[in-house]
Amino acid sequence: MSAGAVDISHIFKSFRIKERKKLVIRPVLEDINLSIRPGEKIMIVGASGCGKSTLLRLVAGLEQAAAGSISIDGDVVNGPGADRGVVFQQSTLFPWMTVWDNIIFSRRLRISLNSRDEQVSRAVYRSNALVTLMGLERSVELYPDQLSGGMQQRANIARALVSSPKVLLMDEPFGALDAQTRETMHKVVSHLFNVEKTTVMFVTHDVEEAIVLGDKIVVLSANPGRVDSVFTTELLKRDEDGIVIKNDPVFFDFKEQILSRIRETTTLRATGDLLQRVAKTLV
Amino acid sequence: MIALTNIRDSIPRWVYISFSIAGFIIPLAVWQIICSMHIFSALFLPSPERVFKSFERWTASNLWEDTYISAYRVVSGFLLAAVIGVPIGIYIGTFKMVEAMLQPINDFIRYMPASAFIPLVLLWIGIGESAKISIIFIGVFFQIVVMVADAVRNIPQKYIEAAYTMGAKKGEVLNHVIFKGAAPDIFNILRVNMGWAWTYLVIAEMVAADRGLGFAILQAQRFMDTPKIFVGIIIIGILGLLFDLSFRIMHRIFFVWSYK
Ligand SMILES: Nc1ncnc2c1ncn2[C@@H]1O[C@H](COP(=O)(O)OP(=O)(O)OP(=O)(O)O)[C@@H](O)[C@H]1O
Ligand SMILES: [Mg+2]
Repeated sequence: MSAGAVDISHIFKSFRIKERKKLVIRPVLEDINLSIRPGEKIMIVGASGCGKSTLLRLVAGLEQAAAGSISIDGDVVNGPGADRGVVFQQSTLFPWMTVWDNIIFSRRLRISLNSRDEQVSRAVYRSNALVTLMGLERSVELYPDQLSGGMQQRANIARALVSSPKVLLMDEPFGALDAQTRETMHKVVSHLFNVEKTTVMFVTHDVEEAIVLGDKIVVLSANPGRVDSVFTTELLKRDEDGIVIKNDPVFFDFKEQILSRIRETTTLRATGDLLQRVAKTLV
Repeated sequence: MIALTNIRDSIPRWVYISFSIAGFIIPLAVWQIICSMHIFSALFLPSPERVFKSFERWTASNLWEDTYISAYRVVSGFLLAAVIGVPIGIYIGTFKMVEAMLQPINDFIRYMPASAFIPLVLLWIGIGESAKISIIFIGVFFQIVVMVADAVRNIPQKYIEAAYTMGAKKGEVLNHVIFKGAAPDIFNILRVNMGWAWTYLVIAEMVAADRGLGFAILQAQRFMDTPKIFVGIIIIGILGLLFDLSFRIMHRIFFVWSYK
């Protein structure tokens, strides 16, 4: 599979939630429009609870929109499928399979690995390539619980990519990792993004991570979530490997711009309310 | 000094085994001491020695035959319940429609005592082997169903979603995620129910039996043969323990991944 143009058009999403024993409808996403070119790496940032995960789950087909449509290369999304790989914040490797069996799972569903045709050797070849790329050579025979958090996320990424999805959806994949491991993962993943031409939608609350890994950064506003602004990382200085140089005034300035948008779009009124309520309970 | 009383801490294997053995030896010793004090009449509490004599006598007659037929009944009733109950439990835990239809009625019957079904079983199935097997079946089937349904519901949603995003179809999710993921729990449920199946033996052999451990216990009761009652109970206990142990060993072999 190649291409991977994602078209998100007029997406509305709300959840029915219980508030003081009453069912209320809470709008989460409102009129989201995004058009993503094949191969583009889009980072989505925004305040906590603004609907980033919900947006990703909609593209994955794990949630249904109230209105609007999402299509991949013109095909409307109506359910999950192997053309969109997903990596969540928490590892979803199956504990009952070895890392290798996890990685090759989606291929095993479609082709019998015992047969001797070309498809099989291609599947095994690609799985092996991803194992090497993710530095998992020595972990393939282990069970997921025997891996560190960072290694688990590498395996999750390899597993999501093995069937060559058009789009890779990542929801804070490094959110649960320590700063050092995350740094390593950034290197691994920016290399990956250079070799894999798949389209990426990547949710993070770490603005630096977004700048380092993304072509574009979408800021979602909160309550309800809307596209507030879009930044491109084109103009940032890069080293010879194409990696953004962080130690640079342009970088700081860029980061500050994005942060200020996030701050501004976080409903201050809501925060004020909360503070008041907290103050009351403390008195 | 080894710390033996830290919460959930493991202890050396030899210590563990010593304590397990002590757990059997101590009650035995207490039993022996009480008997040698002659507080109770031997009719109520026979001494270990007399129980052993009774065991020897029974071995010389038909203990093995009784054991064999009882084991046959227990295992058959249990297997039948497992083969039918596990799939039903999986479907109840997976599909709300099946849950709505089968769970309430299953819970309803589950609380009825198996012994109350004896007259019905006699009426419907007669007095052959199948009658005894049916009582054991009734005793464990409904438990297996609820417990398996619960085990299946405990599979985290994230694994199911992950499988769908990798292109798995409904049947494949059921097979590779729900069943595989719940398998260790299901196996443990079967182990526990195998134990319960043994506890229904005496009830099952109230149904027109002329052989079996449960039957022998009932017979001994009629003749006030207390030592033989003890032997029967102890043998059922030992058999239950052996089955339990083999289930545990198999669990360790089949589900290596579930041990960290
Ligand atoms: N299944 C659900 N049922 C009810 N409400 C939900 C559900 N999923 C999400 N929400 C609500 O929708 C809003 C957006 O949630 P979402 O998880 O998309 O936010 P997010 O931007 O990913 O937040 P975070 O940065 O904390 O991960 C939240 O207010 C959340 O409470
Ligand atoms: Mg989220």
